[in-house]
Amino acid sequence: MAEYQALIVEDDAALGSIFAEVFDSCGLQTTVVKDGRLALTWLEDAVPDLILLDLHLPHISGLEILDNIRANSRLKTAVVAVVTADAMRSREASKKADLVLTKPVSLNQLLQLAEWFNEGRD
Amino acid sequence: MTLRRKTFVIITTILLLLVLFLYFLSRIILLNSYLQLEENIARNNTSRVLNALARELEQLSRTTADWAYWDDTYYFVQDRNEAYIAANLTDGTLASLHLNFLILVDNDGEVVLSKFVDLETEMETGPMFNPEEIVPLLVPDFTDLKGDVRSILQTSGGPVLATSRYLLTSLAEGPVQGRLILGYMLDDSKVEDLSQTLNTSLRLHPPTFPVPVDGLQPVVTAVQTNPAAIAVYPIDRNTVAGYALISNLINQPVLLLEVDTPREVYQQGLATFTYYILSLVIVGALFIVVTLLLLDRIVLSRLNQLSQRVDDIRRTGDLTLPIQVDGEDELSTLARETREMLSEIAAFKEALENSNLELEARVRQRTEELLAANEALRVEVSQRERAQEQLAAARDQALEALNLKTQILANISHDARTPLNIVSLRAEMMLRESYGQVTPKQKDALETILLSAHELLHFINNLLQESQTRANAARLHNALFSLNEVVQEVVALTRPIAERKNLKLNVEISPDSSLTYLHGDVSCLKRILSNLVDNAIKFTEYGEVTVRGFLPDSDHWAISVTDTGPGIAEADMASIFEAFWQADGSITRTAGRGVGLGLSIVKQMTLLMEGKVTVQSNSSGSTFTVSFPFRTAGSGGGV
Repeated sequence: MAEYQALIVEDDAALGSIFAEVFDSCGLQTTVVKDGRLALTWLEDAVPDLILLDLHLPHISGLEILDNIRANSRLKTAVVAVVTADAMRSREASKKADLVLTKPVSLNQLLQLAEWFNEGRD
Repeated sequence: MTLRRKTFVIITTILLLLVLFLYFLSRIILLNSYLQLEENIARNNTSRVLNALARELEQLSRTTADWAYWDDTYYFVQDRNEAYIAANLTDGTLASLHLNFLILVDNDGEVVLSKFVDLETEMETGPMFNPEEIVPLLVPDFTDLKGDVRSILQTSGGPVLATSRYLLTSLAEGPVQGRLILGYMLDDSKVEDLSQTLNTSLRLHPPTFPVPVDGLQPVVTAVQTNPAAIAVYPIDRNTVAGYALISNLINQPVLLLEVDTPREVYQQGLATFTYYILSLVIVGALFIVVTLLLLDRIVLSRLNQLSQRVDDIRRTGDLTLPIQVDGEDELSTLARETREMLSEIAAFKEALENSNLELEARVRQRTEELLAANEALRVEVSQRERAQEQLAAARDQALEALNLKTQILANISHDARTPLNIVSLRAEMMLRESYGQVTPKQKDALETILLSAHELLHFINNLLQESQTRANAARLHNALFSLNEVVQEVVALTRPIAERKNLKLNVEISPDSSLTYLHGDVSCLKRILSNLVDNAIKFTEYGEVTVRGFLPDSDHWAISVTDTGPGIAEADMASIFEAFWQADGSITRTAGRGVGLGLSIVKQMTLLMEGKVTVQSNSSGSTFTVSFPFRTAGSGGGV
C-alpha cells in the first residue's frame, strides 16, 4: 500500500501539529506549512493526495491558494479539504473545495478522512 | 313688431275681412233684390201698356156698338139711303170720335161703305189702306151673338186698332144685316199720346224687329216664340226694357212692343249699396282708430312705461328705482309685483353682499390663521427634520457600534475557535489513549474538558449568530438539501455528548418523498436543529432525545425534538424564546447552566426562514417543533 501524501496548510502551529499527528498516526505522509506562500512554493514540486487548507492565512489567503490549485491541471487529482472557522467563507469555499470542515474539527472527522484514503478513496 | 303694430294689423285685417264679407253679401242680396224689383217694375210697365191698348180697344168696341145697334145704320145697309150718310157720317163725326176709318160690310162680306178721315185736318181722305186687308181678319165667332171682335192689325198703311160688330136694330135684334168696323191708325202721334198718358216710353216695332243691342236677340226670340210672355232686359246703365209681342186674331204677330223703363230703382240701389259700404269702411276706420287709441291709453302706453322702467333698472342696475303704473288692474298688479320682487331681490342682493363681505373677512382671517399655522408647522417640521437628522446620526452611530460589535464578536469567535479546537482535539486524542493509558479519573477529567470546550464553542457560536441576526447580517442562502443528511450531521456532532450522559439519541425521518429534497438555508437549519438538540440533551438527565422529520400538512414540512426532561413550567413558556433568558431553579439545577441564547436564535432563524416554532411541555418531557412552508421564498418546496 503506497503512502498517501498530505499537505496541511495551517498558520497555527499547535493545530497544524495535531492535524499532522492524527494523519501520521493513520499512515499518511504529512507536511505542514504555515502560510500560503510556502504552500504554493511547496506545491510547485509535489502533488499531494490530500490538502487540508486553512482559509485564514498570512500573505496569501486560502481561497487564493484554492483558486491556484484548481487552475493547475497537475494538481487535479488532489482532494482539497478546507478548514475554516468562518461560516461565510466556508460557503464560498464549498463551491471549489471537495470538502469543507468547520472549526472545531472533531477527531472523528479527521480520522474518517484519513480512513477514506486508506480504504482506497472509494 | 311692437304690440301696437300687431294690434293694429290684427284689428285692420279683421275689419277688412268683415267689410269684404259684408260687401259681397250685400252685393248678392241687395243688388239682386234691386234687379228683381227693377224687372218687376219693367214687367208692370209693359203690362200697363198692354192693358192701355186693351182699354183703347174696349173703348173703340163700345163706340162701334153705338153705331152698329142703330136702326139708321141697319136700314142703310139694306137700302143704301144716301141721306143716312149725309146726316150721320160727316167728317167731323168720325174725327170727334178720334176714328180714322169706318167700314160697313154686308152679310156676304162685301164692303158697302168705307170712309177715311185725317184726324189733324178732320177732313175725309183717300183710303189709308185697302179695307179688304182687314175685313177677313175681323170675322166674329159664331157663338158671339153680337159679333164683338177687336184686334190690332197690320195694314199697308201701318198698324191699326180695329173693332167690329154685327149690324142690328136699335133694340139689338136681328136678323143680322152685316158688320160695322171702326178703328184708327196706331201711328207715331197715337203712340206719343199713349206714352204721355201712361208716362212711359214705348215703341212699336215690326214683329221681326232686329234688336240692335248685343245679347238682346235671345230674349226677343223667346218672346216671339211665346206670344203671351213679357221679357225684360237691361239695355244700358240707364234703361231697362220690357218686350211683348202683339198678335192678331189668328195669332199672327203684328207688332213687337218695347216699353223702356228708367233704371232709377237699380241706380238707387247701387247708390245705397255704395253709401252702405262707404259708411261701413268709415265706421271700421273709426273703430280701428278708437280701439287703438283706447288700447294705447289703457294698455300699451302703460305697458311701454313699465317696460321702460324695467329697462332703466336693468341698465342702471339700481333696484330701488320706482316702478309705477296708473290705474288698478292686472298691469298695475304686475307693476306692484315686479316692484315687490325687485325689492326682494335688492334685499337678497344686499344680504348676499353682506354675506360676501363676511365671507371675505372670514377667509382673510382663516388665511392669516393658516399662514400662522403654516409658519408654526414649518418651524416644527424643521425642528423635526433636525431631530430626525440627529436621530439618523444616532442610529448610524448605533448601527456602526452594532456592526463593530458584530465584527469584534466575529473576530473573537474566529480567534477562539482555533485554541478551542486544539483543546478539544488534544482531549479527544488523550481519551483515545493516543498518548498512553489514562486512568478512569483522568478520563473523567478529559471528558469534562471536552464537554466544556463544546459548550464554550456553542456559546461563542450563538453569541455571534445573535449579534449577526440583530445587525440583520443574517441572510438566507437557499439551496437544495436532504433533510435526512442535515439531521444526521447535526446528530453526529452532538451524539458524543448524549452518549456521555447515557441518553439515547433517536432519529425518525418520515419516508415521504417530499422530504428527500428540500429548498432552504442549510446552515440556518443546522443552527436551529443543533440548538434544539443541544438544549434537549442539556435538560435531560434520563431517557432519550428523539429528532423527527415529518409533514404536519400538505403545505409544510417540520422537525420536532422531543426529550424526556422535566418539562417547562407554564409560567415560563412565554419567555423561553427571549435572549439571555435565565431559567428558574428547577432548570438550572438540572442543567447547571443558563439557557442563554439558544432558543432565541431558534426563534429568530425560524422566522427568518418564514417558519414557525411551537413548544409542548409537561412533566414527562418537552417537544419543540419547527415547521416551514414548502413554497416560499424562505424555504421553498421539495422536489
